Amino acid sequence: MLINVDNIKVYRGSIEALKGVSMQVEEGAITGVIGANGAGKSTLLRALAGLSPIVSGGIYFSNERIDRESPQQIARRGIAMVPEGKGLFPQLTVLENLKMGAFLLKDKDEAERKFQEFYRRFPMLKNRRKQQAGDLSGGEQQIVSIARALISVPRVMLMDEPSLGLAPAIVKEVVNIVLEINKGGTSVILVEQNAHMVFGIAKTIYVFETGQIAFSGPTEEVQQSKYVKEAYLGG
Amino acid sequence: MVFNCLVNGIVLGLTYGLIAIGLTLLLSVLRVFNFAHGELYMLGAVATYYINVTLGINYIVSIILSILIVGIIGIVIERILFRKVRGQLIASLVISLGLSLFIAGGTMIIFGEKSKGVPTVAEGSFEFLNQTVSMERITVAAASIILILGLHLFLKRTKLGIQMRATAQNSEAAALMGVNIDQVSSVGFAIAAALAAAAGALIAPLFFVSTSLGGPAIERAIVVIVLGGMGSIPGAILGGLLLGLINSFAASYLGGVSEMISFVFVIIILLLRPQGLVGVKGVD
Repeated sequence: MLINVDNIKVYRGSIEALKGVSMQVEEGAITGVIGANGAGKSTLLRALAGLSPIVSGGIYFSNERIDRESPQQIARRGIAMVPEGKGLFPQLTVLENLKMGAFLLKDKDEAERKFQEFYRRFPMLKNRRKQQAGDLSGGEQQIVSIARALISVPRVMLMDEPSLGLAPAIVKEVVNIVLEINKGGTSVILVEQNAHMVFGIAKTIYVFETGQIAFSGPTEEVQQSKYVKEAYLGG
Repeated sequence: MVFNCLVNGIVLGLTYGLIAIGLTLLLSVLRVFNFAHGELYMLGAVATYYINVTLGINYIVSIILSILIVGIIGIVIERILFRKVRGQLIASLVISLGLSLFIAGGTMIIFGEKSKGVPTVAEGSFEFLNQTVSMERITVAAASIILILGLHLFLKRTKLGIQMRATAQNSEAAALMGVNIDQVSSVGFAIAAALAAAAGALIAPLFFVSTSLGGPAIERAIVVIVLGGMGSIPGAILGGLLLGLINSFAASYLGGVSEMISFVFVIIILLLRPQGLVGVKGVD
């Protein structure tokens, strides 16, 4: 298993947001994490990225313990995150935001090639590259956020509700991007409230409820389970 | 009279701006409030006195050395005191309050209570529109502008500069991108300290050097950043210029009550525009 989460407990303020969560993330797969608001999904990604400290348990990446490392160190391992709320630098230009994504890249020519690749794929990015990121629409910001995380060609992408607040057409585009980067070898942990989106592309799904994992398994199993049917599919 | 006030106001204002820029940098990049920032300005002036007058070293070299020394002091202070309280405004305020007393008191023991002078280097004056401006004032203004431009180029064009701006705007995202926040904080503090020291070093020949320079300096810097809009560097410059002009004209035309009148002006401006000159409503 690429990532092993071993019974972690995490606090957000004084609230126990994760109450002993264990997960295995398979290399090369898209792993889905669904659940209601406040169930702890975002906290899980923050713990993986090193932003939220864990009070007990451990997180292992390729059998190495990473839960004591800083976000910078974890980023250097090739774990990239598309945070909740997009996590852009609002007064930096789109290009500067992308450049920050290329921060750890040793080869600057490769970074430039990636920029050109994104401009080709998203002409919007090219047109707006000198604009401040904070001035873009929600959908455009999400594209920038994802593009920025992809520049470093990460081994793992942590995506926190990428479809939130986006028009269906853009959501489709996001789905395509996720499938593409996964085909390229990047493992994806996809946190979403939009369960249908996750059912469509994930191999394994974890269902969170109030800080714990209520149910997990291969997508087909999870989709067919009574639990999920009642919670998500209305019956 | 008006022309003199204008020139004095601009020169003063630029130095206020240099100090306020540093305070702003610390607020936005490290999220700390450095109440001892005025003392770094004072140290810049005192160091220049010792290097230039006591050691007899050339004035320009003295300024550069003072800036370097205070910059290093800034790095040490950041490492020992401020790193632990990054992001905690109240804790940093309390710590820096103590630090300011320590620096001012400690320096006074060595320097003494009397003000001392640093000789002028820039002789002569310059004719402009039938008025004379001393070369001294021109060089102070020019040096300040060069420093401000230098900072602008650093922030916009260098890798460290963009890291600093990114950290100020979203420090978690910056960490996720692999930015070394500790390193950025060190450099940020060094720059802020260097700018304050530069202001002190430049102003030394124009006025006087004493260990009590710090208090008024931080008071003014606080007024400037509130005037200009917290967290905005252009605001700090504009606010500095505005306060410099207000103080200069008030001192000339109103004499004794000028400090108070200055504050009245500032209050009026803030009533009309609470976010400051450049600030955005609701930010910090």
